[in-house]
Amino acid sequence: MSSRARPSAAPEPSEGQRAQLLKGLAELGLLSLLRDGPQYGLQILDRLRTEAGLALAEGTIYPLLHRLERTGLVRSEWRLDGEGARPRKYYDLTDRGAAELASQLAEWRRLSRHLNTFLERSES
Amino acid sequence: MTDPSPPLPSRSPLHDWLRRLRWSLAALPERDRDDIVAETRAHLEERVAGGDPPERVLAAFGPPEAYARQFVDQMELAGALGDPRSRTLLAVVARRVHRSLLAVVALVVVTILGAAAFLLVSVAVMKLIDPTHAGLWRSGSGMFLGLVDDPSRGEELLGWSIFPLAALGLLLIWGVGRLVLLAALRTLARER
Repeated sequence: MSSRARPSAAPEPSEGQRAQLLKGLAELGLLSLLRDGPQYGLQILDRLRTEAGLALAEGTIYPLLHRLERTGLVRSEWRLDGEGARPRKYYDLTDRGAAELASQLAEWRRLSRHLNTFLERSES
Repeated sequence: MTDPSPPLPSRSPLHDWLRRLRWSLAALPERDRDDIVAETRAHLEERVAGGDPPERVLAAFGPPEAYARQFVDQMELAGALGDPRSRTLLAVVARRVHRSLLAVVALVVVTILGAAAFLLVSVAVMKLIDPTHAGLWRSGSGMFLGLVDDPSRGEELLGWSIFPLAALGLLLIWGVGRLVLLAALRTLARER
């Protein structure tokens, strides 16, 4: 009979842990999205949900956008997309934002490479 | 920005929610407040126009007061980090004590530093009033900063140099306290 203990299921992360992790990922995802060109809040939120798979709450995107604008990583501009259209506030990446994205991406790739190596070692 | 959209019916749930949002953003400059309300309104209206019931759209945003607090906190933290006055840093950290463990820890550290500063100043003042009994004392039981009843039972180590050393100590305490508050506020600002 083996004496090795069966691994127990990992505990579910708390709401606070999940929210904190999501905030970090949302910032990286948002900066990356804006590399495609200027976009407005609702569009950013929906793309982060559907394309990046980030389960962001409805009210989280604007405080994040305002913080990034305050720190100079993005800039904003109100636009009318056509006659009778609803005005929308578009956000665009600044040069500082592009540099920050490059730095965050490099860190993300370094971390995920190390983590993958570690996880594959435990699988084999 | 001034909201360019046509006015909402005054009894609609969106109107009520946005009115409460504007009221909760009262601490912000008018331009920022208008901008946030206009942007949130555009978002809510676009969701409703897309077929979502207004009640569900509003529920997804949560209470307007909690939503507004995120912007107000951001502005307050950014303002404190740009303010050279230590009392502003202390006030902003103190206002977060009931909802941040980091703020509690920072405030405890600053309180301990404040108590140390108070002790230094008190002993320095007592040294002026009663130089034979006040100072840094060494005796059989160890070191002691303060007043002793019988100076013959110990040795006073600092003499008059207690004044420049106390001034240096106060400067050091002020610097460390400020660094603790700044580090706490920067971390809180990143978490927003």
